[in-house]
Amino acid sequence: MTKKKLFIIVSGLLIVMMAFASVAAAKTMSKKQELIYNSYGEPETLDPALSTGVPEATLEMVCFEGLVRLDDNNLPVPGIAERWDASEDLMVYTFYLRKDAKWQDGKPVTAKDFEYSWKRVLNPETASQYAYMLYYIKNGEAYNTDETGKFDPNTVGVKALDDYTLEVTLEAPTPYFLQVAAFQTLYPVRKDIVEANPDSWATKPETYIGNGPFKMVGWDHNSQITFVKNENYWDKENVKLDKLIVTLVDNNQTAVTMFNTGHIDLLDSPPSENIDGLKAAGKYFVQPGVSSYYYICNVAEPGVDNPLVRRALAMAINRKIIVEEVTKGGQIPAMSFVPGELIDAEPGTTFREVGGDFFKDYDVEGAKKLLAEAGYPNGKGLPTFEILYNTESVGHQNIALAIQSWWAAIGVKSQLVGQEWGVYLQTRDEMNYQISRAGWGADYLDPMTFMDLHVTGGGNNDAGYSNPNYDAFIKIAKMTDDQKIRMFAMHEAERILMEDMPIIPIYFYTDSWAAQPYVEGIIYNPFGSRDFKFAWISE
Amino acid sequence: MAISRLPSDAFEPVHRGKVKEETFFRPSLTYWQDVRRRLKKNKMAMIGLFTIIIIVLVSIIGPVLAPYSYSEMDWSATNKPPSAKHWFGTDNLGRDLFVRVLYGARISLIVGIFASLINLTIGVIYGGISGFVGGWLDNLMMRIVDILYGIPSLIYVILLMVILEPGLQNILITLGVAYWLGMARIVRGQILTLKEQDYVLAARVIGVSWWRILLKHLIPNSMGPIIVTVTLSIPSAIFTEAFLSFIGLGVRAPMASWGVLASDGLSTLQVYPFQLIIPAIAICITMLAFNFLGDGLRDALDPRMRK
Amino acid sequence: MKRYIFTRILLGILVVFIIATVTFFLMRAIPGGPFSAEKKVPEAIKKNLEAKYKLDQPVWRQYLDYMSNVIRGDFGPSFKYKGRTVNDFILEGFPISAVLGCISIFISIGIGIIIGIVSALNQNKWLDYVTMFFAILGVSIPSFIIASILMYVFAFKLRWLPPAMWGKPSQAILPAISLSGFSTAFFARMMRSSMLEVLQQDYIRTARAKGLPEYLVICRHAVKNGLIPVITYLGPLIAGILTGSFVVENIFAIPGLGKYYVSSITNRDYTTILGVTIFYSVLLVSMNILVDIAYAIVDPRIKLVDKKE
Repeated sequence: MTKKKLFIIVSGLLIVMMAFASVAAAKTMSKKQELIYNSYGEPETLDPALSTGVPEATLEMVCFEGLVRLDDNNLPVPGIAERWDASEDLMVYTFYLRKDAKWQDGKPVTAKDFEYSWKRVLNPETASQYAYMLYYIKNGEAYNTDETGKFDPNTVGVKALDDYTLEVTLEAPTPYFLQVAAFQTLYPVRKDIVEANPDSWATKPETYIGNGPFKMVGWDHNSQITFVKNENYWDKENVKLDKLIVTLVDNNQTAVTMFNTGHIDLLDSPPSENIDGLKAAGKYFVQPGVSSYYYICNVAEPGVDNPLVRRALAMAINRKIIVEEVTKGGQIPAMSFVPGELIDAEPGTTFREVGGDFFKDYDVEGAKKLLAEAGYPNGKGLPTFEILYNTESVGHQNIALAIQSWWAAIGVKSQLVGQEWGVYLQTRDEMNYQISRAGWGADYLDPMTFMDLHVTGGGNNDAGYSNPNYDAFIKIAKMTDDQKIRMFAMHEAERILMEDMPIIPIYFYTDSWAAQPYVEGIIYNPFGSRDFKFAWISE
Repeated sequence: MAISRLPSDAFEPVHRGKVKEETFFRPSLTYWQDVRRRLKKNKMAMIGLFTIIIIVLVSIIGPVLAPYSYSEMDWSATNKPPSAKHWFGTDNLGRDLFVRVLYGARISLIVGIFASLINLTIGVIYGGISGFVGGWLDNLMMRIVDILYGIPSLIYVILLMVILEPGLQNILITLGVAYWLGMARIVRGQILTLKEQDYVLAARVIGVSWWRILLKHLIPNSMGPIIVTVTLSIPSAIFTEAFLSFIGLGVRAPMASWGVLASDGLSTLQVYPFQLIIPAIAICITMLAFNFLGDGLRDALDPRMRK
Repeated sequence: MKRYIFTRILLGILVVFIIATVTFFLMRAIPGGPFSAEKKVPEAIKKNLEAKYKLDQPVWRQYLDYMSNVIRGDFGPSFKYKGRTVNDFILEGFPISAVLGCISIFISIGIGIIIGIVSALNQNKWLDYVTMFFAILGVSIPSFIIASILMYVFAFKLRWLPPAMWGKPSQAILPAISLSGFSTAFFARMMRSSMLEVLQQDYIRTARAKGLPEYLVICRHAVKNGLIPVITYLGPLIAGILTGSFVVENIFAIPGLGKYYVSSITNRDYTTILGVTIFYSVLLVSMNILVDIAYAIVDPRIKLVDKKE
């Protein structure tokens, strides 16, 4: 029910995350190397070409390995590719595959496997939702969006020069292509296996043939998946777990009870009611995430069409209370749009540090003043606003209730409109709302993943916001590779955005988990995925 | 054979007052008078009735007197257990649970009573006609019930959500569509058995109209299962309301019913159990009261228990 | 009788067909689609997806295609769980839901009827009130709350039973009890009420008058006749337990079919919505036919067919 949908796409330009990796020297390995991890709900698919969610990415990383992996600092390290080089202009990458890499059934992993797999993702008939991860490759987009059926796949910029050399030609210079190469959509799959059962190969252990640290040995649908160490993995010496059991419990209350009774060793995003207890037991961990929680205003609606009103609404909210009393997960109050962990032009600084906050949290006097300035002293003359939210979890409603009370305190009346997920999405899409809850997660680790959201006519610009100055700065930032210019332009754009306030920032998400004390060596990606390759169990 | 003529003086007029008038040891009662009398004699039923009256009164008057409103948040007092200041404690947003339970009673009682009325009217009449008339009409009516039962309610609930503004009326519409199906089936089953009984035949022979037979004989004789079904369907109506409110069709937050309070309290069961237990107790007490009253009514309405 | 059954089956097919048709068009009328998300899928890719699942064709065409597949017993691929079919869901999930449902029905019939008899024989005495109290408790507190409380007490506090998952007998105890709560109470109340009625009937008086021992009067006459109205409700109740199991299955992480009953609608997984609806409708319709037949067998007075026929 609380399946986390962060929609990761890739760790992009710049990496900062200090992932939580506890490798204390004093601990010794337990005899029984078995870990139980809960993934919320049945995965939608474990076919790397088709999957879209974070839980799926975690499970695919267990069984597959791409050309490169990401280490605990999110930097690319050799995976199936032993080494690589890029042309001067960053347009052509050549990957040299290790010769000892094997599939779990013992067959060698070759460059042809990659060529096949990538073309399969781009093939329109495969209907891969994340096909655009391969639009970086020459003719990738052309092939994927071809409607005639006559496009020649051989013109796509991926070519196996021999069994162990893969040449990739890109559309444009892409300095972060290596991060892209670590993403699950670009994992190799086995042609013979896929073609034998094109639809169902990834749904049962017999045909789920991977090349990663573990292999699947059992999948009781909707219940649990069992993985064991893959003896044919090239780096099996560094894989310490013998068995990884993934329970597929989707009720988070049940999952946390299972954790508390020792039936689960690692649980992502424990429910907020249980956080205090887990903290007291020293089993709760949290790291900053790369997502933003905010309200969008429909700028065409009377009342919220006035930027002063929108700013007053933003200032009247007490974010400290929201994160401490309602969400409780250590979220960070947001007085700006871009989350804190994306880095800026100067090494060692983050975009947030440079940009700073744009207003004061819970500034009731300031809010009242702005309202008066807008011509609505004490809210007089404003309509009753409707706050739209989706009802899958009670959390959105609690936040809306709290905000309703603070707005009432400055004289702004509002009422709550909760809608079922599909209805909510449509209401937002059709701009049939006044103020709506929204969330956005980074697609890649660069502020642009947030900043280009609100350009005029943008596909995800549900506020209907339009400001030519904002558009111009985004355009500048997109035209150059010079980090200084890019960051300057994006800071300017964010300043304009916060002045116009089509969106009201509330908080930045965190990535949290509960782990038993003996769980070691897992790489926790800030997007929410987990890498179990180096996991182990201490005494 | 000719009947021998009686002499005209064989008869003598009786003069009122001359003979001792016949005395009635028991006044003749109409059916409903009898029902009331028997209900009054049933102690448990009266306890149930008074409990319900008290709950209704408290839910009407209580909130007016309470020092808090149902939506007022106190961030310095979240999740506080019951105390002198907050009789039922506070919830995760620092709202007083006592006041919220009082307000919740209004919604839940309306929903419960409405669901009972739907059952008693549509359900009983529909099932009654279907069972009594029988034949192809019975078949048709019951197949319609099957169809209504088979379409997943969540789908038309979502559709209603698109068409209508949120509010109590949607809950009532949804209950109206689906809440009498079980009752219709039960009544129809009862009537099928009862209509073969001799007294029905007798009534038919003397020319009693069919709907009179249905209303005066068959339905009163099916009161047992009807009352049980009505009383037992109240809690499921209360929790259906909670579910509908949760997905956004029902009463707008921060207004909350008992069902919503109990469902909200569920997530904090391990940490703050009182947030679940208090609304759950409220529902149980009301249910006990309705059931005691229902049992009493059953006994009182049952024509065979008439003395 | 044979003719009656035959007509009922034909009508049953018609009923299922109407349910499927209405559900199909209602489902397409509600907002949202299987590929809508907060982060919108790019147009071109959405086109590819719609082409793959044939959602780019006119609705009537999709309806005809779907129906002709259903007649062949193919409920189609799931839109949400790629590579899985609705037939997979039913084949894997229903046996589990059925086992859980059967245990619950067994519990509720057994306990419910015994409680009902005991309280009827002790009408308005303390035993009656005690059993009634528990029956009301069972009915007032819905299964999802009972389930959470049971899990909290027996799995978390006492650690007697595993909190969730499916496979071992010990894992079936808590879910089965949670699921049977309502129907146990229902059977108990129904049984009590119908027993009270039967006990006043003339044939009971006759049986007593002719000197039959009390236990025989109860067992042979009262209970048997008291069961009749209870049976009427068996059909809908079994269907209710099977379709209502989704809450309990969700809480106890049981991989049954019930989960799809709600989640498929939330996900707008069109084929799964229809497949599960059709499957449950068939179940419901056949259950009702069986109940009507059983009804006629238990009570010979009932005439389902007009004598003219």
